[in-house]
Amino acid sequence: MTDLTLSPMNQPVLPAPRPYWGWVAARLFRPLLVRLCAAYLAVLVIIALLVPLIANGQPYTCVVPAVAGHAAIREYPLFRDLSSVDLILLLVAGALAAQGVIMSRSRRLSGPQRLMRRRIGAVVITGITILAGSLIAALHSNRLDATNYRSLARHGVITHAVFPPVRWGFAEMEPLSKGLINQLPSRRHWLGTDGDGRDELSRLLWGARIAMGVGFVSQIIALAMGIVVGALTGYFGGIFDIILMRLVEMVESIPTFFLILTFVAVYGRHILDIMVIIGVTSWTGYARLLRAEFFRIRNLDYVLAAQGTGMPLWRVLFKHMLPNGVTPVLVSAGFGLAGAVTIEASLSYLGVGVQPPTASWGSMLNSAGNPATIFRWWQALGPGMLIFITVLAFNLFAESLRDAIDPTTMGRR
Amino acid sequence: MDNRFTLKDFIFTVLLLLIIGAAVMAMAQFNYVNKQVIALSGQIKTLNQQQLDQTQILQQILRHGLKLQSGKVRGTTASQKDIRETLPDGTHYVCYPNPPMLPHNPYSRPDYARGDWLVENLGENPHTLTPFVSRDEGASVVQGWVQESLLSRDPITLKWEPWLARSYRISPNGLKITFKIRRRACFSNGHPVTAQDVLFSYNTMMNPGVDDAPQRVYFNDVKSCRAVGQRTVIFTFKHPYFKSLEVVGGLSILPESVYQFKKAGEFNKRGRLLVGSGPYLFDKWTSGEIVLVRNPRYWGPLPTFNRIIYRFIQNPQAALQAFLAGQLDTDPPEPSQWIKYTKQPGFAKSHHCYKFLTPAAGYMFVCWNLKKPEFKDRLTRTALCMLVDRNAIIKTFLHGLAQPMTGPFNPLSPQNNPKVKPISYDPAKARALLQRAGWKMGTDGILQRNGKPFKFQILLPSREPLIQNICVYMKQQFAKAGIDMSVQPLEFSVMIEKIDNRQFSSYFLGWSGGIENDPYQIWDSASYADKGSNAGDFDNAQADKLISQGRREMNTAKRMAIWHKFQAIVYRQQPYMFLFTSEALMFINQRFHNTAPVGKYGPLEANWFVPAKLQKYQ
Repeated sequence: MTDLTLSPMNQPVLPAPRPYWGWVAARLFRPLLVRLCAAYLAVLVIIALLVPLIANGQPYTCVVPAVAGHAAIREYPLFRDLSSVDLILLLVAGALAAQGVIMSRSRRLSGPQRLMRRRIGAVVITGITILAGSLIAALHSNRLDATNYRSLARHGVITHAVFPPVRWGFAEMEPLSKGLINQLPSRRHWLGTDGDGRDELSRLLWGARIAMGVGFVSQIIALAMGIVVGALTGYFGGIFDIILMRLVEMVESIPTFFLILTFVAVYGRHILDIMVIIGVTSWTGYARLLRAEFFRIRNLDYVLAAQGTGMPLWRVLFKHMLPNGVTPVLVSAGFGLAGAVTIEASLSYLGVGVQPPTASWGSMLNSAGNPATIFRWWQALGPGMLIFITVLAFNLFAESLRDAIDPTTMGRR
Repeated sequence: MDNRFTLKDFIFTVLLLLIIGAAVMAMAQFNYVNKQVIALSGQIKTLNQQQLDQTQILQQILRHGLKLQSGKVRGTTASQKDIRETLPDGTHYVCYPNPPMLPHNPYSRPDYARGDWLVENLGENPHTLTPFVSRDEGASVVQGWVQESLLSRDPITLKWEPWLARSYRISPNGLKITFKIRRRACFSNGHPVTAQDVLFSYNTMMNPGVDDAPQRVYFNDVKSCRAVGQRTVIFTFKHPYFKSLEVVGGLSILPESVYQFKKAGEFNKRGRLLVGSGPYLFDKWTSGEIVLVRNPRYWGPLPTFNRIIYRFIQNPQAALQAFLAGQLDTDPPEPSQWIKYTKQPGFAKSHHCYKFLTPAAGYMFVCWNLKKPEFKDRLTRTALCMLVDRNAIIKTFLHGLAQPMTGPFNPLSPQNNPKVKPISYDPAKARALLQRAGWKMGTDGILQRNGKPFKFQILLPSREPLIQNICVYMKQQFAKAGIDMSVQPLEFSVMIEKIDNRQFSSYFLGWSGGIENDPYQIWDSASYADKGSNAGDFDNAQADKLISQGRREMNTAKRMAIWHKFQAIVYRQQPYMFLFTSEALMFINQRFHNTAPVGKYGPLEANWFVPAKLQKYQ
C-alpha cells in the first residue's frame, strides 16, 4: 500500500495535473442533474442485465417435499431455466463488475503499474467473457417451463419457496377465465395488468432490456463502422476519401425507419435484425465527425513523429490519433443512444418492433390505447415516463459531456 | 453602362403583356362558363324534381292495379299472384309479376317520409369501384346500391326471388336455368335491361383479360349463356351444382351501352365508373367520401334517402366518436366499446343498439399445416384444441359477444350439424392424447417425438390486437403442455404470400361467411394445388366424396344431410382449430325508424326511414 495522502480522494482540487479523462469526469459530474442522469442510466443498465433475477415467476429456490419413497429435493427453478441470453447478459454484468473492481483496486498503484494491471485485467476479463459467452450460445438450450410456481407454493406442492421481488414473468398471464385483464394497480399487481392479464411492472422492467439492448448494440455497431471509415478517410484523404464519402452519402440517404418497416414486413420481426439495421444506417455521423477530427490531427507534430518512427498504420491511427479525436464521436454516440431507444419504442408502438409476447415500452404504450375503447392510464404512464426519462437522460448526459470536453467552457460553471 | 431599350426588351414586354392578357381573359371565360354551369344545374334539379313527381305518380298508378304499356293505359284484371311451383316434369318455376317487397318495409307506415341522408363508415377507402374487379368489402357495399342482379334473396326465408328477372325456370336435371327479364327494369340512363346486357355482363365476367379471377371460378361450371330475343336468357351448366342459381342469379348486370370495351384492360382501369339499374346513382368519390344520390328514374320502389354517403374512418375509436358527434349515422362498435356504451344509462335509449348473430360474420380459426410432421395426426390436433379455453377467450377478450365454432359452418346456417358439440377445454385429457400420439417430455421441458421437439411458429396479421392477445394466450397454454409456439405477426400481404407458398406451420385468420357455403374451396384435396384455399392440405377421401356429392345434390334437405356428415368428419379430423364467430354489433342514430334486424342479415338499410320532423339533411 502506498501513502494514503496521495490518493485522489485527498488530493487538493487545485492545479495538480490530471489525466484527460479524469479532468473531463470531474467537470462532467459537477452538476447534480448529470449525477442523477448517470445514476438513473446505471440503474437501467443493471436492470437490463439482471432482470430475470428481479422479475420472474419462478422462485430462486424451493423444496419439493418428501413423497412416498422420494426424499425432499431442493430445486432452483429460476437459475435452472435461465435462457442463453439471460446467461450471457449475466456474464457481461459479472465482467463489468470485475472490471470495476480492478479499476478501483488499481487506483492506488503508480502510473505504469496501474496501466499494466488494468490492461491485463481488461484482456483477461474480455477473453473469459467471450469464451464463456460463445460456449453458452453453442451448448445451452433454453428450457420451456410454464409451471405456475406461485399457485404450487400456495397449495403446498412446493415449500420454502423464495421468489424474486416481482413475482411475475413478462409473459405470464392471469388465468383467462378469471377475466383479470386491464386491471387497475392493486396489491397483486403493483402497476396493474395489461390486455392479456400480464403484470405491468414486470413488463416494464423487462422492457428496459429491449430498450438498452437496442440502444447499446446498435450504437456499438455504428461506432465500430463509423470509427473505421472516419479514421481511414480522415487520415488518407484524396481518392480514398472521395470514394468512401460517397458511400457515406449513399447510406445517409437511406431512411432508417422506413427501411426497418419494410424489412420487418418482409422478413418478420426479429429484434436483433432491428438492432443491426439501426447500427448499419446510423454510423455515418460518427464517420464524418471523426474524419474532420483526423483532418486536423494528422498534421500535428506527434502524429508526424509517430509516423516517422515507422509505426504500423493501425497503431498510428487507433493508438495515437483516435484517443485524441474520439471525444466528439462519443458525445454524438450519447445522442445516438437516445435516438435508437426512440426508434425502437416507435417501431414497437406501431406494432412492428419486438415479437410478442416480448415486453417493450413501445408496445406497452400501444396496448394502453388499443383496443380503443378507453385510455388505460396505468398502462401508458409507466412506459411513457420511462421512454421520456431515458431519452432525456441520454441527451442530458451527452450534452454535459460535450460541455465538459469543450475547452471554451473552461472556468464557466 | 448601356441601358437602351432594345428590340429584345420590346419583345419580352409584349410577350409578358400577352400572357397577362390571356390569363385575364381565361379568368373571365371561366367565370362565364361557371355561371352557365350553375344555371344549368339549377335547371337539372328542377327537371329531376319533376321526374321524381312523375315517378311517384307512376308508381301510384301501378299500385292501384293499372298497367302502362306502350303509351296505352289499360286496366289489369286483379293483381297477379306470385308463383313458386314444381311442375309435374320436375321443372322448378318461379314467377313474381311485381318485384318482391322487402319484409317489414316501411312504405305503408303512417310516419313514413322520403328524404334525409344516410351517412355511414366504410373504413378503408376502396381501391376501385369497377364491378367484378374490386376486391374490397367497401366497394361491394357501394356497388350493392347502384347495381342489381337478376335475383334477390329474401332475408327471412332465404329463398331466391326474381328481381330484375320476372321469372326463372330450372330444368329437372338442374342443368338449364331460363330467366325472363322484367319489362319495367331499366338502367339509370333510361335504357331497358335486356338479355343483351346480361350476356354482356356474363361475357365480361368470363373475359380472361378482366382482372376478376377470384369471382370467375364460381362460373367454371357454366357451359353457356344465350340471349333469346330481348328478354330471355338461358344459362346451361356442365354439371348440376347447388349454387348454380345463386351464381348466375347474383351476377351484377352492367349496362352494355356504358361499359362496352374493346380491350379488357380498359374495363379494369375504369375505377370510377359505376352505373347500373339500382336505386342509387354514383355521384362522386373524393378523398374523404363516396356520395350516392337517389336514382330518380328507379324502376322499383322509390328509395327513401336523398343521399347515401360513405366516409373512410379506419380507427374504431375515431369512428365511434364521429358517430357520437352525429357525423356518422351508424357504427359497428368493437366488443369493448359495445360493453362500455350499452352500460351507460340513457345510451341505449338515445341510440338503436343491435346485437345479433349472422352467418355472414364468418369465423376465426388456426390452420395447421398437415404436411408438417407435428400436425400429421388427428390426436395431436385435437389435443391442441383441448388446450385452448375458447369459452374463456370469448368471455374475456370478446366480452361474451361470440359463439364457439364446431366446424366450418356457422351455427345459424342450416348446414351446421347441431349434434356436433364444441370440443371442451381439458388440459389433462389433452396431455393424455399427446402421450397417445407418441409425444414424450424431453429434458428441456419440450415434448419430443422421433427426436424432434414440438416447436412451431404461428403467423398472424399484425395490427390486430385481438388476434395477438389470443395468440399470446395460446402460446402460454401450449407452453404449459410442453409445446413451444412462437408468435410471428406479419403484414397481411406478406402473410398471404407465405400461406400461398405453403411456407408456414400454422396461421391465424378468419373466413368470411355466407348462408350456405360450398366447402370445396377450403376442404377439397384438389384445392391444395395452385395456391388454393386448402392451404393446410386437408386430404380426406371420405370428405372429398361428400363434397362432390353435396355439390351435385339439388334437393336442399338431402344436401344438408350430406353437409352434416361432412362436418362430423371435419370435426373428427380437426384440420383447423375452429375458434369462434363474433356477434355483429350495430349502433344506429335514433332518428332512423324501422331499423330492427330482419331475418339473418341484421338491419337492412333499405328499410330505414326518417320521419319528416326528424330529418336532418336536405
